[in-house]
Amino acid sequence: MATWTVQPSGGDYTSLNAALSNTSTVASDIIEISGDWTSASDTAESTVEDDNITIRTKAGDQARHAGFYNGTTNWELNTSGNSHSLQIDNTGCILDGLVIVQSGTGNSDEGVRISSGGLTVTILNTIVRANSVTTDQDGIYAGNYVVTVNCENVICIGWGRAGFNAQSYRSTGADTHDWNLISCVAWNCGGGVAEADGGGINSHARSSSAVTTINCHNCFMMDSQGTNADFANFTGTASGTRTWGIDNCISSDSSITARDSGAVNANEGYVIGETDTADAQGDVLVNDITTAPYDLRLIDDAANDAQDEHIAATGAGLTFGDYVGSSVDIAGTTRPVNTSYDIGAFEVEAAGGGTVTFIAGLDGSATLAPDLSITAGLAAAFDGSAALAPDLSLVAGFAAAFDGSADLVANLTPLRTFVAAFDGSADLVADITPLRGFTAAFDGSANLVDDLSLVAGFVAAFDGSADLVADATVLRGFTAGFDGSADLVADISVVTAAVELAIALAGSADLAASLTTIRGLAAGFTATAVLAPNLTNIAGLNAAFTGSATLVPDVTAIRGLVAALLGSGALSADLTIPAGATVELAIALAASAALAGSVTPLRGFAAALDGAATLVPDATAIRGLVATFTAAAVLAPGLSLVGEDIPVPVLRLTGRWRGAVDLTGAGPGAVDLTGRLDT
Amino acid sequence: MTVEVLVNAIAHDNILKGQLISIQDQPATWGSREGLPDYVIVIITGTTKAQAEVFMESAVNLFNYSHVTAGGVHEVTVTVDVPVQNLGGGFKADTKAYLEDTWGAVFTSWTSPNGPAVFEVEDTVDLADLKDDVLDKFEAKLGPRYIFSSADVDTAVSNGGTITVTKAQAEARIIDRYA
Repeated sequence: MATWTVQPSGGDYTSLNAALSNTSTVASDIIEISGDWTSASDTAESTVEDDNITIRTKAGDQARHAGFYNGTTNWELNTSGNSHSLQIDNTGCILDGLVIVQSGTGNSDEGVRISSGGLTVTILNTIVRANSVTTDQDGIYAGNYVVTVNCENVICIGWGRAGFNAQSYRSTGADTHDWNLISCVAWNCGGGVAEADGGGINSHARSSSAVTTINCHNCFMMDSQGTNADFANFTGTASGTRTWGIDNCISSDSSITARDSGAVNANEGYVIGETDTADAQGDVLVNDITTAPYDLRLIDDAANDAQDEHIAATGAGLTFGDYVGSSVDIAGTTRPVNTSYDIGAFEVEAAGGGTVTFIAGLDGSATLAPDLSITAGLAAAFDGSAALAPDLSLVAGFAAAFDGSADLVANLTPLRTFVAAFDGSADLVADITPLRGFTAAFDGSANLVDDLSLVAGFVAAFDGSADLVADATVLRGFTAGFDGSADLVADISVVTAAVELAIALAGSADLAASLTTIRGLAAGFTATAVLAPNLTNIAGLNAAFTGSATLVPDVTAIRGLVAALLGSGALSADLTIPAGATVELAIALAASAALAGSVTPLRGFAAALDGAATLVPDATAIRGLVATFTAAAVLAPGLSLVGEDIPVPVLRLTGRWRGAVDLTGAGPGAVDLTGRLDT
Repeated sequence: MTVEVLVNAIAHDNILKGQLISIQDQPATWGSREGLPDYVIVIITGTTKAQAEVFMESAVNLFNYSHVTAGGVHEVTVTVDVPVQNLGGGFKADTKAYLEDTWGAVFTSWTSPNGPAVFEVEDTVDLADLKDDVLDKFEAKLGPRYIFSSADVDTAVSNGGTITVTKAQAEARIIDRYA
């Protein structure tokens, strides 16, 4: 069993027809379609000629529709010849996640035509649409054969004769049709010229020895045209046996009970529309029945009478023959949302409590708009200019991939398990408050901005020009990699005792104002990195400063500051290491590095000052100064090498002193000059 | 205005050697398996993709029916405007057998290579249904209307899998299986 890929580029084949027409594709192979089809098309009529072939779009891929053809990245087979878009000649064929469009204008140009006998065909999560209405034209068709057709989450739109047509029409012959439909939809079918043998789903069984059995569960068949019924029997002479089993379905007419007088939860006379008509019998509200390609996803609306319609299982454990239904809708959403099942191919992601698992692909200019409240399990892929807008509340299980210019904007509150990949210019902006389990990868020019509060488990990789800006508060478990021009700026507060802040700041990264790390800060600062005002490192600051790195003023490293300042690095004014603390300050100051005013390391100061290094004024090294000063290094006025409770000698100057070394202020008797003064 | 046509190089199942598989504007991006041994590329200069797609037409309309009704029988004449040798294997025999077995047809004649076939069925038979049924059963065997010649395919194979022709050359070389 081989898997062959169909992609616009980089795959085995570039069209479904090519994947099916070669000598390499054999029985039981899988044809998997993926990739971005924005600039590509698949227009060749295709035929399945081997047994047990699976044709599917890749799960979670941009080629796979989410219940609606997005017109850009989604793959569709759109043919306009004078035959069928997809013809199936062999048994065991499974179609999953496809969009099949017939743009031909000829008679009998079907969407999917089952063209041989003895076949079992399974069609899942598939949209089958007619672009032009012609005669004898069906969405899914089987003729004078013995066939089993299982459909789940299948939508047929606008076919001239029937959406689903079990048409054993010959006057002789023992044709047997078994059709099992779970959560399927047919809309606006039967509008062909003088068409009288169609509708939403049609049963023919013309021959006296023909047997057709149709089971429909959780389907809506609506707006059949002309004299055609939503659930239709061939209106001409038919001598065969026609059996219908219908439960929990909706029709525009009264054909449910006409076909199955014992139908359970028969919802007849309903109106499909985009807004509520206050129809006495009920409205099925969908996104768009005005403009092709149409969008029959249910609207979450209290007036939507297909929503939360019934409590019987929609698919799980529901068995027709050998086919066992699943428990997800056409977009992969687990049913039911809330306490009841929605009729049709879609399970609405509704507000109203309960456990919600939201799995969505938002492409293009998709917006997840205000007041959406999702309590669990949001897995989303946002592409293009997608926006996840104000007031979204995510309680648990948020996994998202943001591409392009996607924004996760104000007031988002995922409470836990936030896993996100931000690419391009994605922003995670104001007021986001993931409380735990935040794992994010920010690429490109991503921003993690104002008022971010991350309580636990924040693991982030920032690439490019990523910013973690004002007022971010990381309480524990913050692990971040900042590359490029990343900023970790103002008001970051890491306060708990269990902080493990490991940050790598590369390029022009800044660790700016008001950052307070309590412990476990291990940082690599390169290039023009700045560790800015008000940083207070209680313990375990491991930092490497290269280039023009600056640890500027008011930095107070109490203990465990291990820093390497290379290039023009400066450890500047007001650095204070209070008495009584256990200091392990090891600093390498190279080139023109300066350890400026008021630096007070209490012990364990080991410094290598090269080039024009200056340890200026008022520096007070009490003990353990191990320094090498070269070139124009200055150990400037005010340096006091004494300590009240520290044994004498407390200062060991073991360095090699060059240039204008100034030991003014060195305490008498407190100096052990074991080094050599060259000047 | 140049297009690249993916053409089948090996006859198998109901796929004909020389059958057009898909068309892309140049520069085309083909899949890793869209080449020899299964496929060759025919590059056609001076044509658009829309013009070339005309040659992707199916042959499902090649059946033409006429009939007279007399004495309780239809005398049906089926014109198959395709050389029988261009049809998939067994088409003629299979069709004849199916019509005889399923529709009770009695063949009068089926001249080779192009027909017409003449047979009789009871006048209770709905001829439109009969035609649809035959198409149902044998459509896959009809294949496409247009194919490149076997010689063209062989030339492409010997040329490493690609040949380039002008629009006029392509029109001259493509076989119309109706003709």
